[in-house]
Amino acid sequence: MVRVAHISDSHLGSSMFQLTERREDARRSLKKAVDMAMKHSPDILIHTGDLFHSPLPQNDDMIFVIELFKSLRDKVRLIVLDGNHDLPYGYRYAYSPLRGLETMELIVSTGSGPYKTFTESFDGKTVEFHLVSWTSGQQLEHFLNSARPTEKIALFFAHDIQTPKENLPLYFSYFGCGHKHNFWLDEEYDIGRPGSTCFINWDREMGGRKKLIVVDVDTSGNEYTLEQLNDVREFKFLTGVDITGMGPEEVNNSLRKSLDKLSPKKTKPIIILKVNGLIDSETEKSIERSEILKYGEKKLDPLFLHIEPNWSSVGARPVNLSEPLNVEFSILEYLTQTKDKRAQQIQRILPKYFGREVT
Amino acid sequence: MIRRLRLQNFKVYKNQEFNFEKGTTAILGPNGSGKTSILEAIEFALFRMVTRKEKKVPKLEELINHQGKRAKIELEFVAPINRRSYTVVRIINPGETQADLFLTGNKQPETSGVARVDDQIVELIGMDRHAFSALTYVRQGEIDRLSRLAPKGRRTDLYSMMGLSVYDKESSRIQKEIRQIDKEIENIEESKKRLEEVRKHLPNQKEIEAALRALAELEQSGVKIKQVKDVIQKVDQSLSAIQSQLESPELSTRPEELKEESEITKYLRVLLDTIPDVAENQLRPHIRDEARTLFREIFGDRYSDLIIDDDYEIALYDLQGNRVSLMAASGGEDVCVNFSLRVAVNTALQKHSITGPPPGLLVLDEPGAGLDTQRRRWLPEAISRLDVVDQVIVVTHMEEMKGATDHIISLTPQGKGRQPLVEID
Repeated sequence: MVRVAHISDSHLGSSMFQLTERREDARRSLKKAVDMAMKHSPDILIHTGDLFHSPLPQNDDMIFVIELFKSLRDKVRLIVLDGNHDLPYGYRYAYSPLRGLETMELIVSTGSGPYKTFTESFDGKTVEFHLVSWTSGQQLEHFLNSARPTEKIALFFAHDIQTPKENLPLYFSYFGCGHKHNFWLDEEYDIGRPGSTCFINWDREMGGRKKLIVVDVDTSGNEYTLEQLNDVREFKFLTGVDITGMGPEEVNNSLRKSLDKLSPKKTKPIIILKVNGLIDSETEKSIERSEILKYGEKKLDPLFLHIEPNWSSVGARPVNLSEPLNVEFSILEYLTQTKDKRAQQIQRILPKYFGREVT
Repeated sequence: MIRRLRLQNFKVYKNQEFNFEKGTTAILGPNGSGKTSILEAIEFALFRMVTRKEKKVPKLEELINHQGKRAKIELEFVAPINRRSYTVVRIINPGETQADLFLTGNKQPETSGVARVDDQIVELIGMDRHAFSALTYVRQGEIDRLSRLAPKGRRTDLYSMMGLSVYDKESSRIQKEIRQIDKEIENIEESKKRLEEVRKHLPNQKEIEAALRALAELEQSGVKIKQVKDVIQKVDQSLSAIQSQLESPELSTRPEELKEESEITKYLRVLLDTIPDVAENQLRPHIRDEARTLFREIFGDRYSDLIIDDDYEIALYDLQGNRVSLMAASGGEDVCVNFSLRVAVNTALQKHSITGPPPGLLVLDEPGAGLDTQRRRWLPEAISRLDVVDQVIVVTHMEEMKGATDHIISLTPQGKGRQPLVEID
């Protein structure tokens, strides 16, 4: 049995809402994930890409990574792939910050190309690795389909696998990928994605979860152990707020009330309030955005409070055109909807001016 | 929705195939390397027409390569209406064109003949050439122009970008018709007047009858009066001819009909001037929503909202809830606002201006035109975030775009009218 711990997408250097605290959070979240993984004493620790948020990481992030990976030396086989965020201008592998880590022999990656394969023995079991960094879909398909593993235990790791699971070749014991920030695992097809180690883009991630995937791979089949991965900072998402049809006063009150209902557990959480609905433009102008934010900050003491305006605003709209670029059709719609008295007369002459040319 | 384009003897291309994938594709090359020809070929394949700088190219023979006798364009596209893949093949011979439409893979054409293929494609795409270009095409310099305009100018500019200027065109066409009707009414009145003038100089019916009675008496007394009688009868005939002409529907009821028609047509023109405002009012909130989403994708860590009010004044709200006027925003933010706004026009139109499914295609022609280097820096990022539509084609000479798109078609001119070197990545 060979034990693989799978994490992904740590995005060191990302800072949600440009908060410097989030850079530290990203580092602590990665450390937390690595510690959790190491508690399972894996043979292999795989990070499927986007270690850094930018191909030019800042020194503090780089030093943190070097120290962290140094502490793992001789304890585990550490593999890190290039993600799209690690690579400058598309696919320039030679300029990725991972090349330095590889040169220092802290990690194994794909070198200055997108693909690498090798074998290694763990407790007498030989494992064949196929690694693909971020690359074009066609190239990934090529690597997927041309690989012919000879060992019984073969692992395929790529930053992103878009191939439908039914079309994946059968001779790999486990497919590990990243890129998307939410957890996903299919135990039937043996394909897993842990999600990011911390929140990067709250809008896309708030519905999902992040998990550490530990796979015990054996010729008889895989066994999965999952462990919830939480961001080191507390996130509160409030999404059901609807202000349709409210007047200015009501909107302001209802937003304040929604904030009142929250009770975060940790200090300095990040609170996000998503507000939906349809209001008129007068009401929109009278929303006391900055006062409400100040109110919430005073009450909840968050690291950051964000109100996402997702409402639409409309003026009076007596007529609704379904195809505004179709002149003839729009005239007819307008006449019907305004109950125009001359509708019949206009309708009579329309074909003369707009009749479709017969060719 | 465009999958494959094959060009034979079309402008600078002797024989070249391009594959288009989902996601963003950059067509990259210096001036005159044949970038726009690709767009023209797509337009021609779909609509048998090529527009350059908003004018129709009059002679299609111009599109044939100088060394070839006829050009052939093959375009494979997915019809939004049924998600099936079609291939249209058009051949340009000097003086005429041919067309066939196939379901991709079939040898037997679905439809043949230029007019029938034209009609079928409009049906498959769900819109005509005009709507298609308003929905999918962002022209050179439009983003830059938006950022330089005052709110009022921005309104008229967006108005035409929304394709609503088609109403102005129809309106002036109908104005011409109205003038023609009025002219016709005038002519009829004129001839009526002339006939009445003539009638005034002729004796009236009673006088002629009296004259004829007098003649009859003379005849009885044996005087020879045949010649006099003939003359009087002729006068009588002309009088009734004039009478019947004046009473004919051409001159009596027709002017009334025309006057009514002119009035209704004038009312139609009022409608044509009113509806675009209604349409614009209806589309603006959608445009704002789309622009906001796009802008937040890029600057969501600094701003929470983008607002376009009724006077097309644009304002931003920062994360502290304060209103920031566009004047105070940085160059990059400013270009991003206008980029979002311009693209939002297309995506909002795709979602809210047609009843069928949207074409899902967006073409950006030199989006960096007119922007200085500092402002251009934001474009690659803005473009790489464009997942609002399935397929984005960016035509550009900016090398910076290389990293911003999923696919690159790079063109290198070879001089002497030779086909450019094409690299596809």
